[in-house]
Order: sequence, then C-alpha cells, then structure tokens
Amino acid sequence: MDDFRALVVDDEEDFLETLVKRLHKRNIDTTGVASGEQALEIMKKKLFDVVILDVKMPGGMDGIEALREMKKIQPLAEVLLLTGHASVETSIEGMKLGAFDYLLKPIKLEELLVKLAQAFEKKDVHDQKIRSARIKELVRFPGRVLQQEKEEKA
Amino acid sequence: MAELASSSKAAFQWRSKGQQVLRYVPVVIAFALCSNAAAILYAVSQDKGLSLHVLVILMALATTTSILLIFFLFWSRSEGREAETRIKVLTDAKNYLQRVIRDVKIPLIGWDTTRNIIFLNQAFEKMSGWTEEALSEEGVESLFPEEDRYHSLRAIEETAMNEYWEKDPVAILGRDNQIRPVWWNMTDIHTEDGSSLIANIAVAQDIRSQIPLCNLEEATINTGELNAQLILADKMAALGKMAAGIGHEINNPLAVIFEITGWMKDLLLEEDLQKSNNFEEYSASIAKIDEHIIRARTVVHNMLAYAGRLEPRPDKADINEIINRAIGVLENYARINNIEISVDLSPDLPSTNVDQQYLEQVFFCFISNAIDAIEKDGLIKIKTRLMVPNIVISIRDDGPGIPVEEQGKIFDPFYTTKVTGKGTGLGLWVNYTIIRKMGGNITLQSKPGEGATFTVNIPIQSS
Repeated sequence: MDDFRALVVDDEEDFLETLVKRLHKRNIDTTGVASGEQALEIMKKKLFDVVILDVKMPGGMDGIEALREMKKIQPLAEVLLLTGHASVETSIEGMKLGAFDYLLKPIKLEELLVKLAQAFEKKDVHDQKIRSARIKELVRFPGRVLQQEKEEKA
Repeated sequence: MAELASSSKAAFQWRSKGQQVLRYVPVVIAFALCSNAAAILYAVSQDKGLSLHVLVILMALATTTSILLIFFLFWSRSEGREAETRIKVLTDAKNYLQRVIRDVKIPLIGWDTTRNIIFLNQAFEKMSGWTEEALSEEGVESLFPEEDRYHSLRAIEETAMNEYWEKDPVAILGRDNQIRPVWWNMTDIHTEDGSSLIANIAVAQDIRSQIPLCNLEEATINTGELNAQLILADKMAALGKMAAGIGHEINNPLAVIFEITGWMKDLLLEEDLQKSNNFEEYSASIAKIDEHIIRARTVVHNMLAYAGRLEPRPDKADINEIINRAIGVLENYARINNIEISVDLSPDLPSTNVDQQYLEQVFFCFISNAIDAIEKDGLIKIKTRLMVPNIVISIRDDGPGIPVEEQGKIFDPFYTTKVTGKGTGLGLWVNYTIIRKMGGNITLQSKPGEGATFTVNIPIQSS
C-alpha cells in the first residue's frame, strides 16, 4: 500500500485525531477533517484513494449528502462508510450511491486495514483499466494526444 | 335486509292486485244493470200482473246491489288489514335493523354518495365523540385531521370506484380534537342489480385496542389478558426507543475509547517502551479494557439491532426447519447437561413469509433459556401446530418454573436472573420485539415447580 492517500471525515474530534495517528503509524498518508464541508473543500485540491466517512454527523452536512458531492468531485475515490448500528440502513443507501463498503463503530483497526486494502485494490484495478483504455484509444487514434494535452492545459 | 326487501315487494304486488280488481267493478255494475233490464223486458213481454213484475224487478235490483255491496265491503276491508300487517312487518324489520346498527359494539358509520351521513352508531360515537347531528352539520370531511384529509378521502373515493379497500390504518379526529388511529374497513353498498352505488359503510376500529375484527369474540373473553398485553406493548415500545437513544449515545464514546486503547497498543510496540518494567502490566490492562469495550459494544449493537431500527427481511420459510436448525446448534449443550429435547412438529405447516434469521434467533433463545432453566437432567418439548390463521409453536421445559411476580418482568430489556456475564437480559426482549414485528405474540404459562411453556403465535403470511 505504498503511495496510498486516505481522508478521514468524522465530527468526533478525539476519534478523528487518534485514527489519523494510528493510520500514520502504518505509513498511510492520512488527512483528517471534522466535517463534510471541509472534506469537499480539501478534495477539490488534493486527490485521495480512499475516504473514510462517518455517516452520522449532526450539525453539519450529513454523510450521505457529503458522499454524493464527493462522487462528483473525485468519482474514482473509494468511500468507506463508518456507522453506528442505528444507521445501517443509511449505509446501505450509501452503498447504492457508490460507497465501497461500511464498517460498524467501534471499528477494529485490523478490519479497517483489510477494507482499506480492498478499496485501494479496487481503485487500482479501476485506474489501470482506465489507463489501458486510454492507451488503446491513443494507439487507435494517436491524434488524440494533442487533444488531451489541450484539455489538460485548459 | 333480504326479508325486508321481500316483504316490501309482496306488499307492492298485493296493492296492484287490488287495483286490478277495482278495474272490473264497472263491468260488474253494467252486467247487473243489463240483467235487470232483461228481467223487466221479460216481465213486460209476458204481460202478467204489474205487481208481480215490479216485485221481480225490485228483487233483482236488490239482489244485485247487495251482492255488489258485500263484494265491495269484503275487498276494501281485507285490503286495509293486509296492508296494515305488511306495514307492521316492514316497520319491525326497519326498527330491528336500526337497533342492530345502533347497539352493535363495533364502530360503524355510513354515508351516501354525496357524503351525507346515513347513520353513525353508538360505538362510533363513543369511540370518536362525534354524534350523528354534529357530524352531519360539520361534514364527513371534518372526521379526518386536516393533514391527512386528502389521503383519507382519496382512499374513500377509490373505494367508491369499486376497489375494495381492506383494513387501512387511518387517522381520525375525535370531537375532542384528539387524533385516533383506526383500522378503517370500508365497503360500498350497491343497488341490487349492482348498477349504482348507494352508500359507503365503514367499520372503524381503534387500532390501540389491537383487536383484529375476526378475533373480537375471543378477545373480549380475554380482556384481562389483552389489557396486560397492551400495557406490555406500550412499555416495550417506550423502552425500545429509550434503548435506541442510549445505545447510540454510548456507542460513540465507546468508539473513541476503543480507538485510543488501539493507539496505546500501537505505542507499546515501540522498543523503548517494551523495555519498561511495567510493559506486561500495561499490555494486559489495555487488553482487558479492549475486552470490556467489545462486550459493551456487543450489548449496544444487539440492543440497537432490535430496538426497531433494523427491518426484518421476510422470505418464504418452513418453520419446522428453522426449529430443527436451532435445535441442531444446541443439541450438544443439552446432551452435556443430560437434557432431552423432544419434538412434535406438525407436517402440514404451510410455508410462511418470515425473516428466517430472526426466527432462528428466537427459537435459539427459547431453547437455550430452557436448558439454562433446567440446568441438569430434564426434558424440553417443542411442538408446532397449524391453527389457521396462525402457526403455533410451544416450547415447554420441566425446569423450576417462573414465579408469578416475575412473569411480568421477563420481557423487559436487561431483566435477567442469570449470573452477571452469563446473560444480558436482552434475549426474551428481543424475541418479543421480533415476534411482535411479525404480527404475532408470545404467551407464557408457568407455575413454580411445574416448568414453563412459552407459546408463540405467528400469523401465516403468504406473500
């Protein structure tokens, strides 16, 4: 899991801080934010592989809403939902919106790491597929390189 | 109703028969006059004494007139008497029907196609506080709370369009402005040939009485038991809500603690800390904290799962098979304690729509409780029976039984007689919640020293 970037979104500051520390210790480049709004803000500037998102964050943007917006900003980032038991239905709703999986709080770190690895793998496979599709496209229509460069500049 | 219809029909037919007879009266008179004239002509042509002629003519006239008079008297009299009895039959039938509607203990209301109240019986009045006059004045619409009015009335219109609307929960607004949830069962009454709608008749049963109409008789017999069940249902709902609230509030701090002990474990892996004298102590303490967080987490999750937050996922299931599965898991545990589990499963149970996992959990809990109650050497009898519309399952143990004063508490969450750590006191509560959700119920018969029998009623659901 080299070069692995994770974003943790949870309004429980103590939880957030500790989880970020623990993931850091396992060499995962982790950023922590305390609200859905902050998460969207940072996702506009930085690419993430996996987002760990608390479903229930009273007071601000709720998890499902945040998820919907995240998928617009970074459609390829995998999202893992964290939930108390009571919001399992919400989490299922979230999976329909493209979340990768959900975990019940309190989470066991081992489980989280396994899910993270799976999510990363899925994303990686996905990335590779896109890459190979691009290569195929370029082989077939080499002229598109120029077009792509133009797009990137814009 | 049929009697009423037939008697009115007979009365109608009779009256028209009388009219037909009256039509022949002029003919009879004409005939009499003709016969008189003939008698006079005959007397004149014979040229006998005039007095005899006059006598014959007068006699003929008198006879005819009296015959006619008697004839008329007879008919008019009997017509009057017959009509009177017919009318009496009709009024009796009408009064009888009105009394039935008024006095029956089921809240009934009926209105016609223009929403004019036809009747509203005493039970309805008692349930809603509305009298017939008051509701006629305010209009049927005011029976429904403003926010539901549209839905409720639309549903009623649908009924009028011939869609049979079977038992729908509808909120109605009492005269005292209290909202009452009722089972609303609407039927439309059509003319005999079915061509046009005459009225909508509704049965409105207060949901809180929880008595399905078909079981009304049985339920009134067991009013005491029913009241107890109602109180229990209320208590369970309140406790469930509270449990969900508490569970959620506790879960979050638990998650934080768990994360922090995790962090401490991470730190303990560092070399300089491992050299510390108390390393073993720290490590063991953290492991203990973790163990107890997991324990608390299990309780909270179980509690939240059944506090009405997780919906069961019904599926076609064979109840006997589910029971056998639950027994299979516990067989060993029973054998170790020298407890025999005997089964008497009815082979003709229909498959029904239930959440198999939940139901297995229910039976597992009952059987393991029975084993725990017996402790050693005993017998558990499990029986299934089809009693339409229910499937009835009974689980009987010959353990020490449950004292009467404890019987009301056994379904409470966290109520347990087991030693701390052996039981959470959630099992029977969860069972109760699950079975209620399936629309069934659980009853207990037990006397100290005579064991305990739990009986589960599950309504058969075909789709």
